[in-house]
Amino acid sequence: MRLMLVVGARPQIIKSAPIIREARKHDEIELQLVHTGQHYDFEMSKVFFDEMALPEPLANLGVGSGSHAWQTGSMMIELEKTMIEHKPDLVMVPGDTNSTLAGAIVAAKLHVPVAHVEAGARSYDMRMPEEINRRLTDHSSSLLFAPTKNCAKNLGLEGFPKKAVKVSGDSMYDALLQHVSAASKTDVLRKLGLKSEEYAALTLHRPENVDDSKILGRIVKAIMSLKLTTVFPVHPRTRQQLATTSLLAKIQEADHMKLIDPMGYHEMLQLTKHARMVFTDSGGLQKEAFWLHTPCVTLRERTEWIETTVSHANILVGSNPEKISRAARRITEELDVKMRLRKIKNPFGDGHASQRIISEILKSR
Amino acid sequence: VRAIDVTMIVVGTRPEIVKMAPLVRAFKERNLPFVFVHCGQHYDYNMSQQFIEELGLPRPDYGFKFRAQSQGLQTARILALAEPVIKKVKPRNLLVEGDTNGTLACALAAVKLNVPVGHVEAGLRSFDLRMPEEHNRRLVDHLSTYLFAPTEVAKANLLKENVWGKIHVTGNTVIDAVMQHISLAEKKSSIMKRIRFRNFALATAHRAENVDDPVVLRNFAEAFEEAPVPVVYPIHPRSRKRLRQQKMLGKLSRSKNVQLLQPLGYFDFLVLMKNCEMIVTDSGGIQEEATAPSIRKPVLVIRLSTERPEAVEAGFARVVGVEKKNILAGMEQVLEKSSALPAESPYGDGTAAKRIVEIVMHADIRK
Repeated sequence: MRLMLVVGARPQIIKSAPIIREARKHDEIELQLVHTGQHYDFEMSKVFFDEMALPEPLANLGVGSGSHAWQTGSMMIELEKTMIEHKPDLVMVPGDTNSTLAGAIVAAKLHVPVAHVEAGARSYDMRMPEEINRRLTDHSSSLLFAPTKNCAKNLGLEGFPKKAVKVSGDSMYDALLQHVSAASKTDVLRKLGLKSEEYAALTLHRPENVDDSKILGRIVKAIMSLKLTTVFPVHPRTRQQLATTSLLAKIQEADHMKLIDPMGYHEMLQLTKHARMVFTDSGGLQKEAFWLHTPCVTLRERTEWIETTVSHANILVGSNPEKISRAARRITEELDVKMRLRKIKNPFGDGHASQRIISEILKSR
Repeated sequence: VRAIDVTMIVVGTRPEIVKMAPLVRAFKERNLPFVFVHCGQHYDYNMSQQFIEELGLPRPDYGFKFRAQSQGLQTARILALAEPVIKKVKPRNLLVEGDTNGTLACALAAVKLNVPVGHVEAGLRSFDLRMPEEHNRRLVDHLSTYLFAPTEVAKANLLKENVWGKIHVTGNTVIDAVMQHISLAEKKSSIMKRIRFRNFALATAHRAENVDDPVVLRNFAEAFEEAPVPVVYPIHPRSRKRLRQQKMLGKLSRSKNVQLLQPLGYFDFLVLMKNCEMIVTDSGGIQEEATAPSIRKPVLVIRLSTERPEAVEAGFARVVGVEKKNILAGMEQVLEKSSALPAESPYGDGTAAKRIVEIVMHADIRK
């Protein structure tokens, strides 16, 4: 069977990697990997492909960044040509980006069945473009791989037939287990002069936090005032916004703030694993922190990964400085927080989600 | 009035123009500011303009006039064209109708710019995913803030899918439209002078899954030739092409029992609906229009499914499928049946547009 897998953004490549590896074990699957170029063109994300040991894509659409409608529309045009040329039997779309939605809509319109990986995640916050992407992708799909039981429940509420929904586990967790030992071989801690559990990690990229320099300033100042050693791999869009005020210089001057370029997957895993806590507005990092037993402070009002919020493993604080410092204090004051988090049951599967996904796909023929 | 109070009303195809016309009028009557957008294809543009003028509606403020062959390309083009217009106008909300690629594309462009979307005719489901319309309307329902469900059945469909927006049962604006347009139609149309028969059935067929299937197309042609009552058949260009390809067009056009017509304007069609004995159709909208008090005609649905179960339940419509013998049996039954059709339409009392405008206005004040 011809299985077309559409990726574009970095997190999609991570959650696809274990699925690609699994698919390549089956001779009956002809894998057609398509890279939309949503975040980077293929050349720029080649490093990333190498790190994950992935094959070169069959097609690089090179769409690039732009407004939502322009980007989604451009990807649809290119994806339609690609699908018509390569005639997939099934199109698989992971995650919740514009690439995901574009792939799902085009395939559905060509009457090619769509499989959504990471189906059923809901933040119930429709101001998030990802929430729209997720919902519309789910409603374009005939095979829905829910990473958790809760996601499957969300799909049940939206009227999907039981047989279309498979609780597969989360392929991003598969990826983490497959890469965690390679991650531990990186020397990122030494390079940055960090000691295990004596620093925090911070990532920020969401428009609602970054686009308004007042909100961005509020968050960054609140975290700086904690006087914790903080590693801040800064997203290009965030750096740009910080540079419009004096904030960038202030961060660079502060001894306890380490502003660095975005990292590869292995280094980021290692950094997350050894952090005392993580501050983030990313969806994927909330889960990775959870799996690595690192407490997470999420700089958002809502999360689609509600599973991670049990036992205060993940604390939602929005952009409220008061809540940020209260959450951080709570974590620093707890003696062996990681030991406690280790005891929480992981609802994201057993690390074999990709096997289940591929076996269901073979059954669906 | 600040620019931000503007509502953007989007139309593309003819059925959308018909169903949004009462809404445009309701906005005008209340002096509420709106921007009128036509997102249709290039070849359709002049015809649509003319139609909009005939209905006495204002000229669209924006028209997209693009060319695209495939479903995906159409959606992609409209998506990219809609975004700059929405960015420029900054509407307070955007109203779309129905289930076309244009409906989906404009709604998606708006919601990604955080402009709330109102879906007129929300919650229709055929549960037949081979239909591109089913995919479009489902996606639009899941991204809309206001869902204007024409009936309780539509509302129940939306509740079953746990949609995020708020559901309002308003009735269908198609009934408003028929009531507002019928007298204008009778004044303007002279179609009845051209009809050879005194009593006739009115037939239409345009759906791809019907006319692109040679077996189904032959069933239709033969059923019309052998029908127990003469058939007036305004023929869609797509169906004409297919009939010619299948070498069925000659026989059908020579049949004494069938009168083929070129595609008709809305007014001519309304008048034919008003004067026929029954309607045989695979169209969705006609199933609704037939229930308007000024039409009130039995409908045989020549499809396997319908997303308009209300017309069936109320006794107006019956799904007879696509087999010749079933279509003929259905026509016989209609002719024999003497029980009267209900006086009221299951799609509302012709005040749907007024209700929708009230809801949109109230929502704005509350903000």
